[in-house]
Amino acid sequence: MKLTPLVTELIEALKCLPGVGPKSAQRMAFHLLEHDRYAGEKLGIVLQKAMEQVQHCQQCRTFSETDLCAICESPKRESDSLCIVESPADVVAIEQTGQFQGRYFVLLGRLSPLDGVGPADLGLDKLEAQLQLGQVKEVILATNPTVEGEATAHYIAELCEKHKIQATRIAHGVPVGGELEYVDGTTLTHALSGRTSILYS
Amino acid sequence: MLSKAYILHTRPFRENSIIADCLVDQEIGRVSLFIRKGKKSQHQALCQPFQPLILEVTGHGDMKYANRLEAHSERFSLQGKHLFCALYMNELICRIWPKDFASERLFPLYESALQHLKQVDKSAIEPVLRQFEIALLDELGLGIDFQSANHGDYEVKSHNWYRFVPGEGFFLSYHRLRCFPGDALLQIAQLNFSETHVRLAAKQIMRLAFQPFIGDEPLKSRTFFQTRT
Repeated sequence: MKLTPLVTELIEALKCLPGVGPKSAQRMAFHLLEHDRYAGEKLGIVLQKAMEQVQHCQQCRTFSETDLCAICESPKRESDSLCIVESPADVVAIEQTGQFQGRYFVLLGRLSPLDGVGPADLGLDKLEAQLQLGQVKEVILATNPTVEGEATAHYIAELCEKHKIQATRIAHGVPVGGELEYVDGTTLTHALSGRTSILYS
Repeated sequence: MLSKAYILHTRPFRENSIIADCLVDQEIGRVSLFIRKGKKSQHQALCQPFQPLILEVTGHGDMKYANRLEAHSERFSLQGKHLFCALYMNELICRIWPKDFASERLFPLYESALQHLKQVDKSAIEPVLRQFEIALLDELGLGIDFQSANHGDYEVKSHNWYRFVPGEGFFLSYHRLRCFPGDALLQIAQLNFSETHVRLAAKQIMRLAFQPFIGDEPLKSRTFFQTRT
């Protein structure tokens, strides 16, 4: 069956989403057109509004509709510790733990020469300007435990050293509920070298 | 047949696969391989650069697959400048080494450079990189003769100065502007990088030699070394 131009265009547009191939895109388009026109209209309006209004926070670069995001604006957040992450999704993950009360800086990527990403592409000039202000006492490097993430962490650690600021790296370890047998060698090595004593109080 | 391999770079392909730029032993050289992603963290850790691997290459033409992927030994745990240098080596290979260009020596060259990088301290990194670069040019058939000039007409003398032309070699010069001292060239020929001016000359010559292959887009990994400037 030949589809109408608009339906074809809708299917093509839905294929931009991660994990959505031609079949899934067609299913989504048909579902909205057949069963849920209201949700489809709402999706279209919200999508357009979000694309127009959601920008990056001028201080930490996470998603924000205002110049400063809620975390950067909050007076309750400690301004002496700064957590560096690769993406806005990492901010959400760390916020869910409720363990960190400082502020964030989102790189929106990681140093990856073969993907054409260098220090200038990660907003490190903005980061350095913040470090120069002298408020930050500790930088927590929470980039992903990949080779590129490690390189990024080392690069930022050097920047911190230049400004005499303590840089710490998040620990690597065995995931909760995991089995040692299936954990990779590098993680186990890190877990063993970063072992802690059990204290009986 | 199982071969030793290193992943140089990966990029996602669809939801559950990656395309990995790999360096494979046994005359295979640099190839792009499809790897199906496993769910376990163990598999994600394997698909990282500097992890010695054992795998089986199957398929023909552009569609080659990596099967039976396993760790061969412990990953090269490189930190700081050492890690930046290893990333530079990966970028250099991907930028200048043609895909599917078979080579017996490329894999051992890369592996021994990684081993040296792991062992040396920060001050001795440069000679490891220069030796790797010189050997890489040799392997590509573009080796530089540091002991003769003017297309082999003259022997390089330590008190003379020489101009370097990529692809052609050294030429005797009567001025010193953008030229290199003969004694530095002779020491580079012996792979002796103990003196600062020899290391500097070697670095500049290598940059000039790779320039025609790298083109206008500079190597990104070079910018990693500029934090202290």
